[in-house]
Amino acid sequence: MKILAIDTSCDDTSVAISENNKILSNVFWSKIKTHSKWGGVVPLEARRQHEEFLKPVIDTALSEANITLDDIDMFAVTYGPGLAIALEPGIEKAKELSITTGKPLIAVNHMIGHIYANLASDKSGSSYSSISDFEFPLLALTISGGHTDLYVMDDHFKFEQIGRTLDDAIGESFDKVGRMLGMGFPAGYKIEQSANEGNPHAYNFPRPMKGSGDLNWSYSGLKTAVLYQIHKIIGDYGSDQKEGELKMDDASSKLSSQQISDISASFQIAAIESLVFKIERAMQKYTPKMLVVGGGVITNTALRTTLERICDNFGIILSYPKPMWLCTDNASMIAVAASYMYEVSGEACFVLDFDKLDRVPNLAI
Amino acid sequence: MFEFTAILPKDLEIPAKSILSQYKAPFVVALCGELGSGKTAFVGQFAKELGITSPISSPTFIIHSEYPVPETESILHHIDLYRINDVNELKELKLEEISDSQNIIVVEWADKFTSEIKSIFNNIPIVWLNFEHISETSRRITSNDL
Repeated sequence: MKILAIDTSCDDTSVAISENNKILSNVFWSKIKTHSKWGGVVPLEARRQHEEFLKPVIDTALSEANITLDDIDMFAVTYGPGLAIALEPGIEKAKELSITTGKPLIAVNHMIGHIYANLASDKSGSSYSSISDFEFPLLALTISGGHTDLYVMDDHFKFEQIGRTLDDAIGESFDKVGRMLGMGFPAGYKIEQSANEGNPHAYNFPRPMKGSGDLNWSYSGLKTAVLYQIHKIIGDYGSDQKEGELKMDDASSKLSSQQISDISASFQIAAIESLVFKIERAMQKYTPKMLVVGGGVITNTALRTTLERICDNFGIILSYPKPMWLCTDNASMIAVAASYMYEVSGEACFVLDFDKLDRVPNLAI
Repeated sequence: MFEFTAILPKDLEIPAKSILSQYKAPFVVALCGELGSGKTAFVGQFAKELGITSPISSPTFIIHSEYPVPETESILHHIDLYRINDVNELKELKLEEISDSQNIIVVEWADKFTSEIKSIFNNIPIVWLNFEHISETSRRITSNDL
């Protein structure tokens, strides 16, 4: 089955062609890697870009895969979660392609895509991760700028959510701390680089929710603890300045690069230990065969190393997509998820009523 | 004028209760204050007071989340303008479309677009709520609309 998949959930316009789970081509278009003051996607520009570039990106994906639109057996598209106005042009284009070609359309949850990215393989059939199939039960962890969620899977597409963030996502905490440290957006990689030069024990940041007894996380308090630490260091905290005037934008310029590295390292270890503590608890409770991870935060090397260690301790297989582009937002994972949806449920996964297919910005698994 | 010092997170129910005793849907709660000043934590407490049981996570990434309010026709719209850069982007969110009916709309980082918020929601009441850091665990919360 040849699948053409579209993902416009964020700032990349991405189209992939797959033969089942083999990625034949994957094309990204992004001219708006924004480095705005506030960080992140510019929604209006994201939509304009998707509308303008979807067609050429589709054409490029087809030609890179050496096929034509006539060779495509089905289409797949992300319908959420994501930015509403960014999702819309992708969905519209997928509907149009499905209608004009008469080929079926599968609507895919972006977060399920991140998990199924682990089952993608290259053209020759070599897996892009350390596994070739899921072994159940498994723990599925999605960690990104918008999500920090933990699921037990007893079978394909059988998800039971057992953990989630109660406030900020882990990737969001990296980005917001990065902003406090004057790193711009996205900040995950910069914090990691900076942390490599720093002392992770320089500051004792909290590991929120460690004693909560459940499998949930909270990253908002950690972010605030970093903010206060910055102001303690630069000495404007507790002085007689007007209350409410803790401004972070001008704070980072008063820190030395060693202080920034120490904060980065101490924050990073707190963020990772908070995450891993609950994962270990879930491993004890559910005795899974695998830990399958998806989402951009798994590109953090310190996190990978920590997860590898605990999976070794538990005798559990750890899987995450190896190339960075397959961890962050992409259409290949949507194609792979769609191919498994079709394999598991056949035509039942096809969109029947196009009028009812709409974007669902806070779609849950 | 409403002004008090809140110990986080438990005291956040005080402004939440105060708002809900004085305003009936549709209305807007416009939250102003720095990063880490307690805005999202307040929305969590506010949602709890409305009877919403699911956790309120930060909408910074997706900008706009919706939660049905139990046993009512209302929807709680949770909007975060942290990543919105200018007025044109704000317009793209089409917030005027949710300003009628029985909605309760909570907007984080509302002070980035004070005049636009006032004009978009000119047909329903707006409660402006300011959060200021006092210490790691306490915040001053003020409002002229309570």
